[in-house]
Amino acid sequence: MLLCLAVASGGCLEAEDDVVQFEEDFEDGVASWTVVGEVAVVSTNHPGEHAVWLAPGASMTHALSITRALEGNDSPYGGGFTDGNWIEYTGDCGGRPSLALEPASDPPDASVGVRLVLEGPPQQGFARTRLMFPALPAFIPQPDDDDDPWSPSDPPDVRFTSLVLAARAPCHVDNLRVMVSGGTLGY
Amino acid sequence: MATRSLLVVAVLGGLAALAAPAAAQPAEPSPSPYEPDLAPPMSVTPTTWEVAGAPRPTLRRLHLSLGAGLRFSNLDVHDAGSKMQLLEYGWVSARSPVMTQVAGELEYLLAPIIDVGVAVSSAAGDHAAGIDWNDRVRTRTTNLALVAKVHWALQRPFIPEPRVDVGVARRTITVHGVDDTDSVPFVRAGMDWRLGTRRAGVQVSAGYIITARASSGQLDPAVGGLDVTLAPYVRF
Repeated sequence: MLLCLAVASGGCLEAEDDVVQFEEDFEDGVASWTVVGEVAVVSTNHPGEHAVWLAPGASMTHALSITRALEGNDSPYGGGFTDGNWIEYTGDCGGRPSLALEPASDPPDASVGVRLVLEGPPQQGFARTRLMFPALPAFIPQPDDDDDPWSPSDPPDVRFTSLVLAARAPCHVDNLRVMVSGGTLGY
Repeated sequence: MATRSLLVVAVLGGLAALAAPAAAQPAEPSPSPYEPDLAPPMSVTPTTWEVAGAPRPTLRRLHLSLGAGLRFSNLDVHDAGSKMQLLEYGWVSARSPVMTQVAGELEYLLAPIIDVGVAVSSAAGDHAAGIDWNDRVRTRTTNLALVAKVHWALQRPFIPEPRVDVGVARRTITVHGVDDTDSVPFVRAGMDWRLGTRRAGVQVSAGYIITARASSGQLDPAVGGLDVTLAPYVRF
């Protein structure tokens, strides 16, 4: 009996339940990123585990290709874009990081850039941080209230086209992901 | 005439009656079966019973066993910390697995106090999975230890024999296909049960392993906990 309980309590490994829209583990370096400032790929808690290290003032940019509809029954943003998307990463920076949505073009349209700014000071050990996407900025055309997804006045879909990772303090970052709810908690 | 005869018989009978108790007295009192069979020190030369021509019993000095079992690392005292470290680093799923293990030991039998020897065991299991389901944190650990086990004088089977192992656990941790090895000391306390004869049988062994922690900042999966092993043994 005890044996059975012990086996059961060992648990099983489970696959990711949410939808991964973008993922970077820096195991293949930063060749796919546009880097400004001092950035290095270093091993962390194991020789096979790598993270990116950013010096204060450094930033990295990566293209995104995520499209979200603002209208329709399956839209998580119909209620004001307050839930559904988040960004998560592992780091050793303390402080309060910030996540902002910026216009990706001039003049602004439905293209949006995501900017993650890391704050210091550095801390001991790595911790996982999750940040919800903020409300849609004012430059994004808002959907109308006619509840008709085929209305010609509906706004275009929102397109997340870039991700900027900026540091104001020396910081390691790994396993950076853009996520949206899925599985049992999905919309 | 008849009266004289009766008188002679009576006199002889009385003499016989007087003489009989003296004749029945033994020269020394017989030993009581309830008296302890003790003798003053150094008054009796010890002797050994031997059957003429019979072979002397073989004195078995070595115990060898080799078997397999399970190690419940989810019962390690560092289980929660191990999983937390993996999840905080971004692994999608983490656990302390039930590891399969092989184990062997060789002991010198020092009756009737204690047996001493060496024990080795090897276990493996997956501790975490990433976004890629096949991307795993895998641990293989080899424990090498000195063993001290109580050797009961009667040497009957089924009697639990307490034992203590002290040694080093050498861990090989694989992350993203890259191996890294470290060593941490450990202590194991447990019991052995021998199901068999003095020459051979099966040994059931159960114990709890406590390992030291890796240095700060290093990946530190739990590889201790409760282990149960079933191992055939021979003594020679």
